[in-house]
Amino acid sequence: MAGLEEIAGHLGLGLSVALTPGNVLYCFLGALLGTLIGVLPGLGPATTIAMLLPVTFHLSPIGGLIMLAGIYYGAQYGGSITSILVNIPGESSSVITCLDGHAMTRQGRSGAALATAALGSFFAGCVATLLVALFAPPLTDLVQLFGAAEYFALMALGLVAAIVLAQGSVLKALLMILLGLMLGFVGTDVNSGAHRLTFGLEGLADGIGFIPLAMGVFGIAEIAVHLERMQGGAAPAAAITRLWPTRQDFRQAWPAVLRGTGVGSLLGILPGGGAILGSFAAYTLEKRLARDPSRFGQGAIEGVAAPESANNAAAQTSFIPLLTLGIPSNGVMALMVGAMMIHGITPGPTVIDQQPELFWGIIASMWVANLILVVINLPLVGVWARLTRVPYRILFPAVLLFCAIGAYSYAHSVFDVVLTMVFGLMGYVLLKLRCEPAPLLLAFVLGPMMEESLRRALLIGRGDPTVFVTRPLSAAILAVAALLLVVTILPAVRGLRQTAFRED
Amino acid sequence: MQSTRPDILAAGLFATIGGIVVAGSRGLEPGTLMRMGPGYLPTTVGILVLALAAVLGLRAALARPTDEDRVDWRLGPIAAILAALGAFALLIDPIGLVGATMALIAAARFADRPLRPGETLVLMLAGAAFSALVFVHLLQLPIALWPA
Repeated sequence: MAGLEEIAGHLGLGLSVALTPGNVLYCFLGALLGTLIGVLPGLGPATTIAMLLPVTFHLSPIGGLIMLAGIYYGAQYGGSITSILVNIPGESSSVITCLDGHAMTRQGRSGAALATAALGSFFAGCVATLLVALFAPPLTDLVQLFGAAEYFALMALGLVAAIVLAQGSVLKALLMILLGLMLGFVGTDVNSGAHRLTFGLEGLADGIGFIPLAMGVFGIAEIAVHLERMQGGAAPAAAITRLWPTRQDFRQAWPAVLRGTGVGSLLGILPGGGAILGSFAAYTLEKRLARDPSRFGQGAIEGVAAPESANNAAAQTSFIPLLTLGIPSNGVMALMVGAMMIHGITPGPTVIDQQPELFWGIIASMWVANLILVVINLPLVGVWARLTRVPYRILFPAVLLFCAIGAYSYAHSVFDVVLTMVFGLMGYVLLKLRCEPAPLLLAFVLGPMMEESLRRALLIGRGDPTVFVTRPLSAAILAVAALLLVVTILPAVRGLRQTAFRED
Repeated sequence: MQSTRPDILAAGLFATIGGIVVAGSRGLEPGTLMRMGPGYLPTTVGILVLALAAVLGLRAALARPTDEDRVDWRLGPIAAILAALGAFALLIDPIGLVGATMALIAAARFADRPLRPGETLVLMLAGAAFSALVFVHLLQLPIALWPA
């Protein structure tokens, strides 16, 4: 671990970048836009980021990434507001907040729930930013020891984790990953220059665009499914009561905030972890520890404080694998990789040495974004609450317009708009068939990197596939992946047996 | 109804895509394990998808259907959304951003009933003004606003 002065030096460098007026403005705009769109019912962080990606293309790389990170935190907080006030989670990481958050709203304690979410997230964000600054450099050093085999093993672990965390059928999640890998094969093969699976289409020679795929499966498909459910009307939102939590609320909430921050920070680092796992685990922990678990689901403030702190902490620490290894650990981080590549940055261990301003600037901007979020959210919460009442029939054409202009403007390509339609339709059908899109996007981003390291490892190992298990580090990572997969399948097997018995 | 079961349909979809990938990589050099050619992994993954899709489909076909398995297809919204994007794609190069935006919004509004023509008109104008202002003037995207 780095010395205290070194860390201070790094953070100082980061702050000097993050606090230039231009970057503060981008951070502020990102957090504001993120909250603004994230608060709209049915639009989660992934959709929000996919939709706003094109806005950041024309900024400098660092400004663009700072803005995107701001958008991410903003969208996450916006989603919490919607969960608490209208009981519509934007995505799975805020499902948990609905349980007790909306229960508090029904009891007329919405203000306390919103303030707890904001303050808990801020605290968690501060701690997690420090953790990122602390652990990123030593991890980067460790990563220098990684060969192609270890990289491959680590990415395989990430994909296994994505399967484990996907809701519903393990088999379907696995198929979604393979589908993502196949989409990643399309384009020109780096080693041989052969066109793969382009079917003679010139537009596919450079591969399937990240933007059309992300917008299709996260934007278009989500809108269509949501429209079916909502019938275009507005959801009834509750009015906000007194904002400040009572003394008793504080007493109950702060230990939960501490525990949530710990759980979230830890789980965020793991491949496949991130906000969803963090919030679920933190909530479960609180319920276990509570003297009276029956209060949960009935408006227990710990049930808001813990998952909200955890998801923000995890959102931050999930940048660690991205920044040190270049491996995205979940769907949102996959979007970040896409954004970095568009700006000409290949995320990985070299970034910290070659572009220290960028690296530390992003980390410092995490803290700045958290501060900005508290500052804009506590006073503006009434405005956000009113936004949850804008009818969806007015919102969705605007979202669609963003997607269309975004897909077109990136490469001035009508073909990309057509691809967006294709993937929108595909994503829609898959959603209807209960296949979650996040593992697909993750595999799409990881696929080309995995193929490259697989080929390289086998070349170095002279075609001997045991190279992955004879190198201790690679073997250990693969063992963890295998264990994880077995553990996931086991309860599924047990569940299957139980149903079989019942039907007998 | 048996045929609306999501897993059977999903299996069919995955198998189709897997089949396309396997067929599409037939002309590609497979290479050896030591020196993989461009066709090695696409073929392998494609075959794996076909196998797993078969497992998924068979497992679903053998299980007893329940009410939860039903998939309600309401094709109106997705059709309107795809039409809106299609209109945008067709019009953006020949007539520019203003016209393409208005067409997109007009088509998209068919996703929801009742149609409310007045509101749609306001949204079309607001959308065109917004995209011209934000994307062309503020973000300086080089997109033509009007027909050339």
